[in-house]
Amino acid sequence: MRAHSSIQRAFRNTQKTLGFGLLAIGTVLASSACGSSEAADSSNAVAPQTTLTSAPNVIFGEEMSIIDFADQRDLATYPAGVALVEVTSETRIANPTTEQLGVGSIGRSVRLQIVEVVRQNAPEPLPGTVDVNTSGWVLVDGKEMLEGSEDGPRFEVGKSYIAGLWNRADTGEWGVWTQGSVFEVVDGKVIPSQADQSLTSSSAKARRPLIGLPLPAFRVQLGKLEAYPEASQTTLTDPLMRYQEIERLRGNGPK
Amino acid sequence: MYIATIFTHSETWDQDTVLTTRYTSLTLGTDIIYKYNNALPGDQFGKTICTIPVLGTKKCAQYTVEYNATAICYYFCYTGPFVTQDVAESFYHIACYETGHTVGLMHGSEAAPPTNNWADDLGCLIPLETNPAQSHWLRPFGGFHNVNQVNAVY
Repeated sequence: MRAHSSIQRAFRNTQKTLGFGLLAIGTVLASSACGSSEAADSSNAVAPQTTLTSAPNVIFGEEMSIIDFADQRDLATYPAGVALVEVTSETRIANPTTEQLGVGSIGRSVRLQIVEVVRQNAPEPLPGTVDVNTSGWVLVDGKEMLEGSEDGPRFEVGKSYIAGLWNRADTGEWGVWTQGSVFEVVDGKVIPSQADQSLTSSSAKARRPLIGLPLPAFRVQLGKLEAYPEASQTTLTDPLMRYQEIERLRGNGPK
Repeated sequence: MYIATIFTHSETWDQDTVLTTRYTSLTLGTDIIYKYNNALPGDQFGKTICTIPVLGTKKCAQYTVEYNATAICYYFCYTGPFVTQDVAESFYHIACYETGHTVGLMHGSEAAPPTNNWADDLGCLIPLETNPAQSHWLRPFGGFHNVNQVNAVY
């Protein structure tokens, strides 16, 4: 009964959440659309053709990501390692269907140069560079916009981040251990991202105590963390299967 | 390859809802577009994006749902005793999950108060199980609570 009540409220909240994101878009759109928001909200209105400004803005979607950054100890348990990285390049991954339809996302691969391993969890050392797929761009009503994540900052070339990383030994694929584990670093300090302004990001609670820390303090904090004891109870190596299995053993995962 | 599906809804929904199809765009009339995007990060099986926001409102005229077939296939194309069924069920699950987002359903961790992401009551919004040995394909996706929640709003 309690669960039902929670879920019911969750549903209501979702609408506000989505609306929050859309409101941000709407604000940008309205800035170049002659302030016609009132007219657009009338009951018989049709979505107007919009003109976007060239001002950078980031939107995000709702993803079925298997991983959720819910607790700082996750960083000591799940990623192969946590590293200070610099984004050295980005490559657009063409999506002909998106281009044809004028809607949808356009993927991006970024190259992360590992500047320092802040925490090593897996026995194998992290490589010097990794290429990961990440949010790129979205065609919204035919206009291209930057796509980010609700859970962490968007990777930008030339900028530095702390990020949890996972890999699949069989394919050699690397990935970011959820964008929620990514922290932008400026002048040696972790700074908040757009995601940290989100009221509903599932990673916000775990991220909050780490925001604002200078790098040395961040290192100390990560060094203190211990992996969940349940991690020793599974032999799974695939990052997503292992995550779900440990969460199951902790009583949080799939039933 | 993509599938575009037109969803029709009653026009008697609550004015406070985020989602409405009454504002259908003139140029793109489909309310939800389903397509592939294999460039999504490897831990993401699907994604829902509002691709036609309604100007000045909290509403969305069109959502685009994307499937990461690369990630899906990594786990389900070559494993399990019933390969074809596993692949079909995983797509079915993701369709249910992402379509749930388009009508306002959300993850358990984002609930107020937060709840377990795998709580049975989440129905469609329970994440995909990546270990085929643990798959529960017969979950009642789109079950009691999902139906009630959607009907209460639209």
